[in-house]
Amino acid sequence: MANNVIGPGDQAPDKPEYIDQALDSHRIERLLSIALSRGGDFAEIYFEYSITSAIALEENKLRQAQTGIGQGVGIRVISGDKTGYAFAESLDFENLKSVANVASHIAHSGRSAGIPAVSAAGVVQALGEPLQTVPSHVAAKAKADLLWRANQAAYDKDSHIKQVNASFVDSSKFFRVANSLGVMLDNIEFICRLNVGVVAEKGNVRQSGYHGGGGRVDFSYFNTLTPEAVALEAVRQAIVKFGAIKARAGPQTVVLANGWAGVLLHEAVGHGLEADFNRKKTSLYSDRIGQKVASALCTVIDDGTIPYQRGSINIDDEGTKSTRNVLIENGVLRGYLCDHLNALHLKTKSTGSGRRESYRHYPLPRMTNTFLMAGPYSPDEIFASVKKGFYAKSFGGGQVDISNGQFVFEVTEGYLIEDGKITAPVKGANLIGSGPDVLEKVVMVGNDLKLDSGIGTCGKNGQAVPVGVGTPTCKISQITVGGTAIEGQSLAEGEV
Amino acid sequence: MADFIDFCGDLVKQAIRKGADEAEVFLTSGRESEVSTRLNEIDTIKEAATRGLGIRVIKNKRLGFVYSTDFLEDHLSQLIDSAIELSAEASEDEFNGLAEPLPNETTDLGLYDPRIRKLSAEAKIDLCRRLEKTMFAYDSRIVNSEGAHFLDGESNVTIVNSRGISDSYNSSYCYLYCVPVAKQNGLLQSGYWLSFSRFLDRLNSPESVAEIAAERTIRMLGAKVPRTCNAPVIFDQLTGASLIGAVLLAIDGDAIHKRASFLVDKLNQVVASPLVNIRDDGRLRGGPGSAPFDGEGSPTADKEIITDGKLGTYLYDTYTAKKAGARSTANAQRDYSSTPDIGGLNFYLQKGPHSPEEIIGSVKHGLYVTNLMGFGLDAVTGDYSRGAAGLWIENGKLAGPVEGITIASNILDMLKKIEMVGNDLGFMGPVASPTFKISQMTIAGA
Repeated sequence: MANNVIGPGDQAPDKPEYIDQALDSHRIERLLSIALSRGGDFAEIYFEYSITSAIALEENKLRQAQTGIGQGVGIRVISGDKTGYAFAESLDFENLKSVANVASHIAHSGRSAGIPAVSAAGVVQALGEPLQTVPSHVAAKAKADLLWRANQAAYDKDSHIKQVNASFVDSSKFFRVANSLGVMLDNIEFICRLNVGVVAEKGNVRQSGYHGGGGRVDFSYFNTLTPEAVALEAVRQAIVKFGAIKARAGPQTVVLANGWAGVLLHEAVGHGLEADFNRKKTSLYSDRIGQKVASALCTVIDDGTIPYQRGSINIDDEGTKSTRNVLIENGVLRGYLCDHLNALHLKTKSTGSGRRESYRHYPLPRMTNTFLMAGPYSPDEIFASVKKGFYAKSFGGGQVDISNGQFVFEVTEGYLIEDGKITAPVKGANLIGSGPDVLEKVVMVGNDLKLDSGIGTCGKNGQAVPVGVGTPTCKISQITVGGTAIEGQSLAEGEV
Repeated sequence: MADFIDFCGDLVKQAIRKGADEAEVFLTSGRESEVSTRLNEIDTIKEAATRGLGIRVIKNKRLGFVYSTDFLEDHLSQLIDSAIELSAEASEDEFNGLAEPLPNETTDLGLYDPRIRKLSAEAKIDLCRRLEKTMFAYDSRIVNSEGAHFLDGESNVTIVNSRGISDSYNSSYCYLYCVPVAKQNGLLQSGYWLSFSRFLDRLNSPESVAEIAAERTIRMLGAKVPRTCNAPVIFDQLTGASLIGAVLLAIDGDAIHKRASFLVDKLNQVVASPLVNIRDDGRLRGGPGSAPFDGEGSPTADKEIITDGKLGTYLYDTYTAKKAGARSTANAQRDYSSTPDIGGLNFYLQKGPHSPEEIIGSVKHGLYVTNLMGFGLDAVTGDYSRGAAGLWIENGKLAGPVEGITIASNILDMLKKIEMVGNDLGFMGPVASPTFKISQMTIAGA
């Protein structure tokens, strides 16, 4: 692949050279002191320079190639639980001083924390071995090759495939974060994702399938997760739906497939353990540390330090080193995900969970890679234990209401389980429940923990960040399945 | 905003000079502000001036695109070089081409209120405090809050292309919302309500918004899971808008071309009950989705989408229109960081004759759905299954809150089963709906 790497001079650098003058330690100290000029407990400067590239194939054509630069500075002041935030795209120093001044207005005490001297930027060490071939440095042609291969594989696999849409998106993100505690760090992160969507048509019935993968990986990752494999999985998902029966509505025993089904944990408990909701006491998990919130089989981890995983981060967007956090241990709630502001309030330490979409946003406590630890059972044992139930193999998105714990997620590939065997494919199902209730009903946990292939994006308060999820195969004794088929029931009998 | 037009025009000329056959610059610039209080204390003040631009070039029928928030002259010049280089990576496509200039009426669409920017932070904080004060006073079971919020901003959109389009407009917005949290028997429920306007004096009062938010929250306390059944479902303004949004996705000319929509091959056919009339009006005065021109500079219009249940048109931008042998419907939507996608302007179900009370009164046993969760729409088949919560209806009366359910059907079936449409259309966003009733869906619960 070496011939695909653009040499120095062709490629825009991941770190813009001009930043060392535009935002050196003296200027940063000056901005921090303006930010704290009206008082406040903490001030922070966040500079970001992101390059995002994308190439898309549809209808046997490379529709377009694109690249873009997102550059800006966000300045934050914390005063008690209050946040002042301002941002701008221009690096002009006079302009930045006025941005700092806008942010300063949140504080009125007149008493500010002193500002220690900020040293020259420390450079953050990346998780794992450095990438040999950074996807963002690879020529568009090599990425286009992946798309052409996926396209060919999908059409070759099944004559019912009528449309193939494939895309490769990658970005590099440089940020410099400095704060009134004297911290100044430079960090570079890379991320990429290959996506393949297909539409199949039989007669006048159409079905779609999707698969994708990536992460903070080397470009050679796609020698392992080949575009052909991604395409064939998308084709398989579309074709299987032709034979699918309608989902039976109502409470059922459900087996979750390993991998992406971990999105259930992300929704059912993860969001409820983010510290902002618990500082405000608006989560049903507020004030419950040390209490039993799940079956004893459940140990839930949020780990941002797994090399190359999509949800991993070297440091969070406040400069705190990423960590492995035990959220639930053998069913007992152990901790929340904390950023700096909420850690101050809760008199604890940041868990390295302060993340933001870009310089346009202040950080919030967020998940990284969230997963259920493996248990003792083989998947075969788990299936064999179910006489009648539902197998949720692949999922779309999910959502949770923090206050009452209600969560829902969409099943994009599901099957009936009959007498311990996976039988007919099922379409149009959704799973709904409340977090603590469902986690209490986790009755078997498999020994086959798997993380997802690198496609997750989590949204909160209008901010999207990449995340990972994972789970072993596991069995939930009862959860409500949404669908259109009702067993042995006539119309309009429902009552509360 | 002549400055931006000249600035964009110079970049277009530069791109042509560097070898592009066609070039287009789309620029947005503006300011945004957000103020929130929680438990009567200031929580957040955010303020920013922001900008960005995107450059589309076509060379030898190949498309390249770049964007940036960095407006330094040298950097933009390098970016134009990149756009032209990138175009060489794309395939030749005979349908590539930018929008042609067309005559555009210059009527005032009521999009800009200069008073919004003059509102002080103190005045915004006061609005938030009034929201929280009213919501806490509404019921003693409202014990907590995810805050009261006031957001506002204004922006200038400028577009210039090498075919002669050169246009610009300003718009403003403001909205407020609050999120009460109520507690009963140790269990929490939260809810929200909002008001949106492009003009400050047309925003609903904080008191009226807070009362609705409080009522929507309080009435969910003690929610139960109903039995699984088939029953009528009434969608309110918020949940109804989400379903109408699914129709919008399905008439996207790009999805139609790719045969990835449940409305493929349905043009001029009956796809909904005769009570269903859907319009997409880009010219609605003060509308949340109104704009004089779309993301490519094509003049917007008011269009009938579904008339008496019959589908009248799909939506196109310039590229998808060429592919379909149709004309652009001026539905190109974008921000500076992307090439156009197809989207609605003010896309809404027209109001009908019934009050929401009459509609509820017509149901013997059924669901009034006030909250939808998760995803669960298969855009290709129309299969629909969403998490839901709301109020159960017994003998025409709201009988009690329900949660932990899903509602499921197929959208084509749902549209045909719309049997009452309400008179309470209101725009809280660019996709809007009055209350309506679907005669039967599957409700999965206990």
